[in-house]
Amino acid sequence: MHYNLLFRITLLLALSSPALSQTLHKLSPNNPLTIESGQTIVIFYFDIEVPRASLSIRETTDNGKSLRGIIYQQLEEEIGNLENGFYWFSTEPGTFEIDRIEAPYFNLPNAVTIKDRPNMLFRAYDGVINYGGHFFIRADRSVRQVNVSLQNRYASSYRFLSELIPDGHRQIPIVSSLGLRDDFFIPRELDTELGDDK
Amino acid sequence: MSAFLQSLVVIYCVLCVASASASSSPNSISSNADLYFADASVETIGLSPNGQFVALVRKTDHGTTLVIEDLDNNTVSAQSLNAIWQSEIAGISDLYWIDNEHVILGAVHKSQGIPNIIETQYRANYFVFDRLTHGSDTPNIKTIRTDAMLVSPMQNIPRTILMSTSQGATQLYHIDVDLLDDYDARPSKFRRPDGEQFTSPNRISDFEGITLRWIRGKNNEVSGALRVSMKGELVVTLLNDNLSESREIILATKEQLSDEEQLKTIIYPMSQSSVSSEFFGFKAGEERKAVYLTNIENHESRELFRLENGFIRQIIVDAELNFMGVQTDTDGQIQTLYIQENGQVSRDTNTYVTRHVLAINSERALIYQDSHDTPPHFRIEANNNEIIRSWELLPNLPLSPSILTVGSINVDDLNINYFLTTPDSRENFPLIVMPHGGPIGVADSPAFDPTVAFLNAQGMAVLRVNFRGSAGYGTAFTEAGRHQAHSGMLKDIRLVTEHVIEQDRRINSDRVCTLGASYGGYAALMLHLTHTELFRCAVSIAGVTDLNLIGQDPNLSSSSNNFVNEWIANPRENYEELYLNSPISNVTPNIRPNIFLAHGDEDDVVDIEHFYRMKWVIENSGHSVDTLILDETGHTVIDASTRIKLYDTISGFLDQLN
Repeated sequence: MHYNLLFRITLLLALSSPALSQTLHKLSPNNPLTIESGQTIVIFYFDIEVPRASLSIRETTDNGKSLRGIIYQQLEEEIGNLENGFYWFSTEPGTFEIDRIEAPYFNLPNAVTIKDRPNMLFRAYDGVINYGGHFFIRADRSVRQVNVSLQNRYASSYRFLSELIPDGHRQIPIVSSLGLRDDFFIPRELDTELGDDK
Repeated sequence: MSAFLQSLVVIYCVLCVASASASSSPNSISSNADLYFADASVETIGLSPNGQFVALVRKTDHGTTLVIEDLDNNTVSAQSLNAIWQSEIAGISDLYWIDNEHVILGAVHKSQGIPNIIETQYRANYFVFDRLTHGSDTPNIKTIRTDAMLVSPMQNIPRTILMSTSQGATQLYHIDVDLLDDYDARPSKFRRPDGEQFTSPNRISDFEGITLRWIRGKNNEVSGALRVSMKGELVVTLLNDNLSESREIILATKEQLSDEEQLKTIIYPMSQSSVSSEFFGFKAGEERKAVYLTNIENHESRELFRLENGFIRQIIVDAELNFMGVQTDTDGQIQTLYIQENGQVSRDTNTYVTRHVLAINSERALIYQDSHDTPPHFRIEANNNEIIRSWELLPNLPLSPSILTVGSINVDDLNINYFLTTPDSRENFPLIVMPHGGPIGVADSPAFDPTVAFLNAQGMAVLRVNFRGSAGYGTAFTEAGRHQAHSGMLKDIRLVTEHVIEQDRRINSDRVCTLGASYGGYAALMLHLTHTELFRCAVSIAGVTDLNLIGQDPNLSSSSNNFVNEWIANPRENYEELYLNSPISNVTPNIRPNIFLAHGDEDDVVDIEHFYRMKWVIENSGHSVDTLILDETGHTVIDASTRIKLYDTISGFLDQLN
């Protein structure tokens, strides 16, 4: 029985091997993007109104099931304490889903579960800089709810992102990698790398 | 009446806004935009029962003021509302005369919070003003602190109002204004507020469910309520004369309400007839095409009048609640039809003047009026139609006469109506084609529109088209607009434009531009990009530039998203078609676009990403584009200085046509 328990713990640890770096880096003119060889980069804009908000992200397969069991990765920092702005983290290539958001705010329900919302998906392509979206959390006490949204604001963000990416990385394309289909900016050659289920 | 006034002001503001915004001093403007797009100088207005006094709420740079004018003695008294609340006034909900001495005013005021510590709060309160002390150093002002809604003054009991609360049920209370607390009195811990009047001795009726609308009988007094019961039924509650007893009649069961076909057959009571259980009303599925007399007890009904074209704006009854006729709107033309018992119809003069009688007594009437070239105003008229006093909503607007032409053409077996407004004293003028927003269930009318008047005053003609899908032409016409936003609607606008250019030789066909907001911005861009030879330039305000982006916008509520998918754009079904018919896909290096883009940076309906995508495409095609970001502005432009800046900039862009 003890062996069985030990096996389960070992398996759980193995399944929980991090696919997502737990470090968020803020992009600013003083702190531009630095990419090491082999890194896959995802950039979000965080616009969070709820001070103690946090979110969890899991990797999925393209058909929505977990790729390697359940891999919850709470971001190291509570995103609600972050200044609004662009943040990046490195990860392995794959498809990810923001699947739970904690947003405690006064008397509002503080957990926002994301179910069947394709707009909460993003992809991490290798060899490019992945723009994951503009992530809002807004507390609306008048209707007793917390509103969350992952908005595609690639064109709105591009000029700012370009300025925050140093000359050495300029040849790396910035691509929109949100889960919803968007033919406008995704280079066609990327479509085949992770399937065509956009 | 007051709620109706509010809706007028809101409609007027939307017209201002539909056109929209950036923070800038009006002093720097080069056009007359400040005269056309300023805030309305009068927010709401009311006439005393004896017709001698008028109360009006004015909003200026210095705050909000309640003004009382004595029409007989030409005296005016004013009281600052900001001084009473000591906070910002966010809106006025009601203004009624209780009797000839008291005015009740409902207002929402804003208490600014501290981010993440104290929330910004909006509080609604009623205040009762005593005319005799109004504007003095010691005004007699009472307040109502209970969370309640004003139903109406009680005509047969002086100084008394009828109010309702809704905490799980609707309760009606009669409230004596003399017993209310002074507005500056400190609340007592030992005594209920409002003179302890929201208690059972003052409760005159109590019924469960949600009240949708009060039904009014003789003298405009409350005689019942249309409501949804806790079981989900649509119920009419009829009250007796002293409002103390009620009886309920089920108009439709929950099952009937959930069945789309049965729902269409329900007749909604609009106005009571002389028999207490009989009402005049409209059938739900008919878009106000016919008036019915329905007996809600035995469910018998008969059709009293049917209109062939247009819709019925209002059912007219006499003082004894007998059916007199209807006010109709046919292609924007408003007409009053008086209908005899034998079915014979007599009509008043056809008119494109918008005119609403807001209050009337034996000697005077308070009226709202406007027309395509008459700015909106309130007026007091005597019995002989003499104007005793008037208040302009845009007081500094210069008189700028224009000619209104109303016409229609046939497109795909649909009758497409249009309004062409041309400058009075010019020929060879440019034409601005101005598609409305929506696009489903919205329509243009010939009533005063500040954007149209502004462009007319600059020597430009303005064409507005009620393309397929627009409201007011029946369900089939609305249905004809389904998924036609990128095809049939644009075709309607283009063919009407070609028609009016052909018909009116004064229009310079080489100087035609488009201008629109929201969907109108999309249409403006698409018409210009796909028919550059006809539409030489385009102004898009908060315009959609990528149909797939709006079709899968995560910021839209699920109901809005469903509406967009079912009526306008469904990326899951026709992504490629929507992509090809979006402005972002129709910019080519070969043809230089001539476009002005404006967008609010806080737009939560059409995200500002649409603006940046269009700008990106144009600039990456080797062309330039004029742009304006409207700071702290949503989908509509509320702030007057932003609105003025926007139209001043647009005026500069359109100068190329003169």
